[in-house]
Amino acid sequence: MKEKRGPWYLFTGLAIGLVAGILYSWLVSPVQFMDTDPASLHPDFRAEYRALIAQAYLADGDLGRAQMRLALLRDENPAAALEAQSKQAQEASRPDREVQALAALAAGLAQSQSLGTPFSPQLSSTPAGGETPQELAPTATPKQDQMILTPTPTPLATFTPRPSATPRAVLKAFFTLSDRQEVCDPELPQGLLQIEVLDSAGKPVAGVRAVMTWDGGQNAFYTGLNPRISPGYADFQMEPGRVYSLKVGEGGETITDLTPQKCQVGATSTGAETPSPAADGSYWGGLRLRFVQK
Amino acid sequence: MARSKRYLWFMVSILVGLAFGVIYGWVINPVQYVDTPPSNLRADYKADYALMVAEIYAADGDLTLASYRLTRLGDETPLRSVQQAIITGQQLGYSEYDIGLLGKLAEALQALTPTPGGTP
Repeated sequence: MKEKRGPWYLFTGLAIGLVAGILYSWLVSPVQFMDTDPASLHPDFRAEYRALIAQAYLADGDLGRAQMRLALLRDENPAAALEAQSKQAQEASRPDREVQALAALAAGLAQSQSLGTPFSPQLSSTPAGGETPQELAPTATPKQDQMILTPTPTPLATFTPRPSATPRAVLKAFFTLSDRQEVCDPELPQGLLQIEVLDSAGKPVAGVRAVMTWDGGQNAFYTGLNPRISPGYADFQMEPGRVYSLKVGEGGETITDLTPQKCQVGATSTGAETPSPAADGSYWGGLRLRFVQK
Repeated sequence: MARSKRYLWFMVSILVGLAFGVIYGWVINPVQYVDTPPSNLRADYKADYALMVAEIYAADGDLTLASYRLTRLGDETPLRSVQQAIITGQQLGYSEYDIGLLGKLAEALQALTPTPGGTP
């Protein structure tokens, strides 16, 4: 008697082979991506890469090049990513240079996006290293999703950043107080110190370090962390009853006796008419200072 | 006879399935690496990374920090990373200024870590 069997054993073999093949290729010997792009970096390394781009920007002042580099990270909103990282860096007490650079680049991007004009951090009139500005023909950027399965002996992409021809940032200029206003605006946080730093041409300057000192304490903050207000804007939360001194820039003058003042309802410097948070009709106002480069 | 033939075809079907599985896992739907280190970057991105380090070094002169940053590229030494970046940069047509920046960083690293026999 002859046993009649269908081709099911073939399908069984095929299924066993398929499963074994997938397991082998996914688990035992997965594809090795040796030639990845910056967008695939681990989030920690992406943050490092972003910080590196910002510091290179601070060094060469070349916003176009920085934008090309940022594009490689494929952030949805590069300016927002920079802004968020600069705030995180400040909170995490990262090195000054890093915070300054992130803030300056965030402000530069925001300004160039809003005005459609190139923006430089605080600049000197001398090109970097005394080099003559050069122009290279634009080069193609690498394909963003290009993944190569095996290492290649020669580089395939043609990402060639432009030369560093723009003037170099100088963040050690001398800033002096040009305007001081007491602000009574109940819509603002109480005791808010707002500063704006401008260069000698009246242009906002990002990445300038300001140091607030009080009895038993000190805190540094930077312009440019809120580029939507102004690249030269920074603020600090003062505590009522505490007297502060402020120094803007490395060689700026020190402004003393800064402290929140009491404001009364209705006595708003901005015309705002909102109820006072205090029962006696008073609240703590803030200060607005403007510094100009000398 | 028929039984051994069936075994043969069974093995063949396994091999065919295996081939399809490997093609699927390696080519059609490979494992996606999303959290890679800078050492896995393609040569041109590594070169640009080294260039950024060189630009920053030219501005701040902090060789220790530059050296530390270059270790991320996973080469034998930071100097090797810069040398490789110079080669890649020349192949990709970097400007003389950029090659010069990399060259200055390489010189500084070479002075920092002299190699046995005097060869890099």
